[in-house]
Amino acid sequence: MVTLEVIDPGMLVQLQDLGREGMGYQGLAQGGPMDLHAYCWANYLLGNSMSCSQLEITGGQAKFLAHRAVTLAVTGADLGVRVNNQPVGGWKTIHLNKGDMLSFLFPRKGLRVYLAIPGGFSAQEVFGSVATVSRDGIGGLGANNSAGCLIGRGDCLKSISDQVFRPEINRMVPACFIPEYGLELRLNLIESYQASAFSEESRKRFYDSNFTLSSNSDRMGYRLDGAVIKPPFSGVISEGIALGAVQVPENGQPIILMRDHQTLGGYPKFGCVAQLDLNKLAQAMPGTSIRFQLVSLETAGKSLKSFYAFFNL
Amino acid sequence: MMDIQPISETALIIKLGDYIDTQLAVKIGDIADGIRNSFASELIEVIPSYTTIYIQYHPLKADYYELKKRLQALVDTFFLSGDLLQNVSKVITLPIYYSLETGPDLPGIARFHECTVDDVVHIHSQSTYVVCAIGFSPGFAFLGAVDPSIAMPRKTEPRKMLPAGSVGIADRQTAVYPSSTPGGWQIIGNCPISLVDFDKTPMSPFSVGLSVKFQPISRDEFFELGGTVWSHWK
Repeated sequence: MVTLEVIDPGMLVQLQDLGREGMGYQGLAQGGPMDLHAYCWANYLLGNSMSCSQLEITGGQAKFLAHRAVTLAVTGADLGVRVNNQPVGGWKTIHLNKGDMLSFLFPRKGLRVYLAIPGGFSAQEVFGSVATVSRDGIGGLGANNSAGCLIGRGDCLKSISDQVFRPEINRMVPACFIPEYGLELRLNLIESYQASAFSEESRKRFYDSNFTLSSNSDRMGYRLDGAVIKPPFSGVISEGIALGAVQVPENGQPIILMRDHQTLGGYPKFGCVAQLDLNKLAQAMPGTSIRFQLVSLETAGKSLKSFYAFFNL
Repeated sequence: MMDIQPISETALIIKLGDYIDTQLAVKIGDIADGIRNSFASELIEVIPSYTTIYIQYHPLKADYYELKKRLQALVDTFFLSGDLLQNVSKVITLPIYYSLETGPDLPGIARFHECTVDDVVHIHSQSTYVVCAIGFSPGFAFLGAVDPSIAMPRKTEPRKMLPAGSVGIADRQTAVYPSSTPGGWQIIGNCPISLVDFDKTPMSPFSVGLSVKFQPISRDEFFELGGTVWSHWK
């Protein structure tokens, strides 16, 4: 059943679930929510399984019309969530009546909002996932949709479940779990890959510098401006790339690889940003100041395990 | 050689060599298959490439140190009993229409090596290649190794778009572009057969370690197999 009609997709709306796993050996990127933390909370608020698909709304300015009464959970950036033009706030469940207009303003803090409905949105799975990876032309409502695999104006979003109006669910995320999406970020880094080949001077500069997030960043990679980190060599034999890998091309400007990253890469890599920190990075606006600090595999692993256990991932 | 290193909280990499070698790629393909068969849901991705096997695992279902031990044992067993596995190397043959209308870089390669276009086609279609890695775009297989007498560096300026099926050379590698993408390889022909289909499992005929041969076909055969000629070359 049609639940929401897209009146205006704003800058970018994509359907995402936990991502397309196990197809990397064929060159398929995983995709998945850029901010897994906000995504998980949205499903959690509705009592959904974590694999229920959601809308990832990037940059706000989007508008949706409710074709029937529906309960939503909205988490992530402060994009000024409004129902019939009245501010309603985020990180909680919202009930829409048939005919209500849900809209988002420009981002004030953060960049991406997650919108969940009970049971998730209906779309054709490709290799077990509906996650959109636009570069590969896969996922979402399908490549033959008006906006390719992106969500476009006039698209009618159907729910999987018939019971999407759940007035008994009124929940909000406890304030202590709502992150502050600020203009300064400190990212924990696990050293790996070619880290030991970087010179002592490059290492020192890497940890001592304030980088700036470039506007030339997307779901594939976040580019950093600022200090030049001289790579030890121009390339390595192409090898599998992990989420969060920090690759350093010849120009010395690091690139942090995000959810839509390519499966193989031949640039020297300094290590990987701890996965939970990528969620905050995914919400960072261009111009955000970024510093790195070393973290041990054990410490980062422990935090990630508690996150996975809490959300039953 | 074998070296296993952690990459992130959920990934590790097995390094099995220091330089590109098609024989190593065959072994890596077999070991990657062995790993897929011996492990269950704890492994999310197993991505072989040239000299390495990258593994992503579920942080609650697997522990790095325990995984490392099991993987080490599996790889050791493979190398000890490698000959006993009797891995019959699989070969696929792809029809290629080598021509100026589908391979605009043929004359350039011939000039570069001071030979004829026919020589380039003949040498390219005589070799058996091995899939050393799959990546760049879905189903894009890096094939080694091109005979040095027709090897050529990538174009200085990549083309903004190439038709699906384009066969290219970059240094000593060759590949078929499975979908229409930008690309900087030297294009010498076109394969009319679809090499990527998201509705099929597997979505591509390639896997690391697989052998690939190219069979030259005529213009008529190319069209019969569904090939189309692209007229936007620059």
